[in-house]
Amino acid sequence: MEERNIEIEPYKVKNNLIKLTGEVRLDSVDGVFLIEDDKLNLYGKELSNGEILIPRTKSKVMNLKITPKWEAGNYLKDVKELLHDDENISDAVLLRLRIKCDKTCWSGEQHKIKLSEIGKKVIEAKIPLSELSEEIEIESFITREVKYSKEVPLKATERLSILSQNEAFKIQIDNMKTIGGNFLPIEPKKLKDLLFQFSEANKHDIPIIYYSDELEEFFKRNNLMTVNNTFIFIMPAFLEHYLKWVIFTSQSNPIDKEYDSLVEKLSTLCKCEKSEMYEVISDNDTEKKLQKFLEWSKKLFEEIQYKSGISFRNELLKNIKLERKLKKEIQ
Amino acid sequence: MKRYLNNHDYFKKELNPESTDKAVSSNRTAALNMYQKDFLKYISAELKLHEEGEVTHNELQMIQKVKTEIKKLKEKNRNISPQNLDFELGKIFHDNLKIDRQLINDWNFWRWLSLNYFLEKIQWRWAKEERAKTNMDKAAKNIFDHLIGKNKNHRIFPRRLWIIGLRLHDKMNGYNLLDKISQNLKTRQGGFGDYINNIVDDKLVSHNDYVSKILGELLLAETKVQSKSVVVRSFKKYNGYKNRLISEAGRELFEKEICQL
Repeated sequence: MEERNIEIEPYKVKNNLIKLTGEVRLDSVDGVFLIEDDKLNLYGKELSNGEILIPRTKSKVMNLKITPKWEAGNYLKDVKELLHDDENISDAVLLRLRIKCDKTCWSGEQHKIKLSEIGKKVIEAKIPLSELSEEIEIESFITREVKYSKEVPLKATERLSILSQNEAFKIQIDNMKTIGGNFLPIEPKKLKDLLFQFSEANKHDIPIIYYSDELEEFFKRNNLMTVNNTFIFIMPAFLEHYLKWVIFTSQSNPIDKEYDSLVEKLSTLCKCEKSEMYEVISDNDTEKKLQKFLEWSKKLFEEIQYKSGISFRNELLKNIKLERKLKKEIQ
Repeated sequence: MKRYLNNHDYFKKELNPESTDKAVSSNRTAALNMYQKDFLKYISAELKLHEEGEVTHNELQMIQKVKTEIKKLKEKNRNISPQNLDFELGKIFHDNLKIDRQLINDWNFWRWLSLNYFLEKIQWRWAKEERAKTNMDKAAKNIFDHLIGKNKNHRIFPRRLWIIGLRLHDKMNGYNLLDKISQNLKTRQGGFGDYINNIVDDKLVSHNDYVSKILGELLLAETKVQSKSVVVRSFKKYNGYKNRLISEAGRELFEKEICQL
């Protein structure tokens, strides 16, 4: 589908005024999971009874109780500044919450809350897991609800203009399979004694990860525990190689979709802005590059262990338990 | 249901009729123009396919029901071009194939369904004219594209049609809207193809698929059917509003601001 942005007069916005709090419950699962920070990973989570949770095998419905709260600050003044002087804040704006799953194009009905109810109102939602895949997002927006007929510079006038938006809170319910080659080029090759090898580096082409062709049949299947584990634990080494290549060898190329998505993935895992990573890539100061590489590789090593859809710790625990169970069955 | 473990690239490499090797190209062109049962023998001998999952008796019955209903639709509409039956086909798929929305973007499932059960339906829908002109190369390219979704997964035949039914079905009104649009497709000229291309894409996210429904209602279900350019413009406009949350806006906003009717 072709896309373009509609040119509208720029207006002032103030993001991140709201934080979401609350709880998540799954039917047939004991335990309450809290909505805090920016993500809740239910897949592979260890329950208080020692069981490893695979939501879809246990439950059919996810129950949410969400209370939006103001972030610290003079929030009413912040919102008033986005409106026109003669407008009443309680008539002009609402907080809207939307729960959606991009993977299945599913969305729940929007919940609308008056700003005076923020911190007090609890929003409840029941979501069938059969409608969802991988993860859901809870988005919150403060929207202008009435059209303002006079044009005032830098003030929104159109109905349903978004005045404030928060980063979505994500709840992961499935194995997202982002680790293991979805965004990295990987191919089989005759490698003699090696299991993995990187292609020769040049500044234009993203290095290819080669793996021994003797393992092709197994690596192309995604239901083998040993293969999945191998990829999980080799992934930090792969990503560090790509970080090195991006910073020290590559020529910055944001127009190239593959290159750009690699930089985006790395910057998320290195907890830096994509623009900052592009700045470092284009910088000629080797000392600065080296310093950034050392800083980012440490963050990357930690973030990859739980932020890419798979928790290394939980995955290992789950597999150890499974292995012990299998051994007992064999005995 | 089952799904393939082989990925998209595998099929593009092993089944694409556009190969530089003439003998390979010719074999694959012939295979894609075969009857379903012969095609299954071909892929079993030539491709190394891995599957996971199980098909239950109930699921096989659902698939068979879809095929039977399509056969009846073909017989009832002998003089109508298959492309004018897309909405009715969508209804057949969605009404009979009772699967979870969770599978909507599981391309390996849709490819398994497509290759194993719908080759002959794809030949009829997407290559009828080329086959009548014995232009088997062009026919094979079209069949391949809708069998595995060569360039866009959204083109996989059963998935494309199932999602048309999903987007237009309503718990209260059933397939009323779909039926109205389908009737107009058979009798009027308009932007039906562009509408389908937009709703089978996975960018439209709204409660009960409201956006697909309201745009279908305004653009293609009325007595006056809107042209291709109005349909394209409306979707561009909807997708272009990054600073407005209009996925649940009322009919009036869609009518005046999005469709500009």
